[in-house]
Amino acid sequence: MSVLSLDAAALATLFPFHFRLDASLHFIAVSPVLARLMPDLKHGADLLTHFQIERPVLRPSFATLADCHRVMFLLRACRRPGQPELLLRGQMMAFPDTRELLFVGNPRLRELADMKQLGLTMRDFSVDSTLTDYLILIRTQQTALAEAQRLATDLAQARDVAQMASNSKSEFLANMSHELRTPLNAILGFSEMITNQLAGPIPPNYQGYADDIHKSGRLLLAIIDDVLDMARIEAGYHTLDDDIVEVDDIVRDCLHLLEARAEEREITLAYASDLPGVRIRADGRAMKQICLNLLSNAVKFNKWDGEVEIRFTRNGADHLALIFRDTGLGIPTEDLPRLFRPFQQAGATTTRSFGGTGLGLSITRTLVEMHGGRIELASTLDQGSTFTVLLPAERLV
Amino acid sequence: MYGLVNIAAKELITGEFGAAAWDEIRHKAHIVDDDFVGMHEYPDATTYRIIEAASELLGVSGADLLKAFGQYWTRFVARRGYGELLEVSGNSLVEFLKNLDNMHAQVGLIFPSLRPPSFRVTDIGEDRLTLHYFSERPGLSPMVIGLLEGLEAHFQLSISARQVADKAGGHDHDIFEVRFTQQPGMPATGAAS
Repeated sequence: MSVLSLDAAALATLFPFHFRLDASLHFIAVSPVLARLMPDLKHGADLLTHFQIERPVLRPSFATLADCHRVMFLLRACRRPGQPELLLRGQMMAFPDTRELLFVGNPRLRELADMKQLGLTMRDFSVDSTLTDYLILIRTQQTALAEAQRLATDLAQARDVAQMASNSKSEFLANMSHELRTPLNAILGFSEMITNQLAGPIPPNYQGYADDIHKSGRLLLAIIDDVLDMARIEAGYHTLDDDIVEVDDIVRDCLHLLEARAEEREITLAYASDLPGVRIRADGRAMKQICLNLLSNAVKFNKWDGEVEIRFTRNGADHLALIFRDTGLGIPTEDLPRLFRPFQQAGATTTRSFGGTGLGLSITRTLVEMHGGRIELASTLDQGSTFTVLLPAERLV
Repeated sequence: MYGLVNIAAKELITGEFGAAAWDEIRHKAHIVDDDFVGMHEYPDATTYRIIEAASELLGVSGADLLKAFGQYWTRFVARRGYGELLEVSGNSLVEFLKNLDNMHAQVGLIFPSLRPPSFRVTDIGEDRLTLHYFSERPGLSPMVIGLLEGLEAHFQLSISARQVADKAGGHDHDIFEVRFTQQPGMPATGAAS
């Protein structure tokens, strides 16, 4: 059975944009939807008066068109000025017995707006048309893209606001720290002079008071230094120097600084290196700060008569590890995630019991990360904690 | 349901009752993150909780809220980038309603988890039709009345709808009797051309 034997309504339902031509390329029949779009396509009208054949390029005749089996046709409708462009895309089928041609296709549409502009609706297309699916897909993607762009803009604005707030905070902290340091230098200097009785003898109880003032001043200075460091890091002003440092030297210097404090509480300090004399490329001051912070914590949060062990070793092929193990309080599991955040310590009462700003670990982690490394932490409550500083092996000199 | 529905609910409530009312409603509905993403799928329970909380806090019945939501939906989706889709979904109310299932099937390409309702139109007259509504989601039939009324402006018709059969009352599906009249001075957009 030939497709032409279908009745006109069935043909129009299956192929809403079709027309039939006789051997002299005159219209025999035009689908109702196409006739609505192009009312001049009357029976007997000439194809080439109403359409320009853009593809394929040929000299139009029944024979040449009939020869285009499975060839894509692009037919540009000849429109009056002001009418929207109409380009039909489809194929031509030849019926030699009746010397007829049947064109079936669809308008070429890039978006739903084109459909609207031509005065078409979804119901003008066959139910199985994938063109309408494609147009909806395009529209939805455009909408999703617009939504994604809106979300990205909102996010960027929120980030900028947060960044501005953070910058303001860092600037404020840096300024305040500087303003606090200036009078503190006078307090430290003069309290030391009084303690050493440089301006003459003072009663013994006053000497004790002056000593307390000096110690408290030094503590306050350490806190201010932490705040200033954090502010500089957050503001992006902290840069690393490229020094060649010997890890053993750094650890031993730090141990020396903490010896007296450890002795007061009978804490044993021990250092072992699997890589004795090894030098690495790093910022010497930052490395010392990392080591001192972790060692200081290991002493501060240790129990009376406890132990602190430091070990320098390799961790696989990729990393060097500086391990700080203590026998102290340990850290509750629920406190682990926030431990490295600024102004956080384990437990709400820790700050009150042990002092400090809670900035040390945050600074330490940032400095390690600036060296391309990371810190790992393992802790068991009432048994102690192990902080492992992992540095990239390529820092080995 | 897709986030688009929850965004519409948030916008409707915020627009009509203010941001403070929405905050109260979302708090009551246990919604922590109300920055819904249109093409992200959320549990149906989220939307139902919004309706319940809004109904309780605003002192409006759930049915009235759903009706208002239905009226708002057409305007909302048109503004959110789907206006052209509405424009090409039918030149008349009847044509539009008859195309709804096709449209949902096409939209389902992009929203693969979409579980859209199904609509069938019968008894089409010059100024009336019967709309059959099939949905697996319970209790949303008042929204259909709102959706139909929301099409008034689009087709420049006066539309009224009443439910004549209720799935909740044991019927196989919900049925609405819809009447429409041309707004004065406007071209015919009711029955199919």
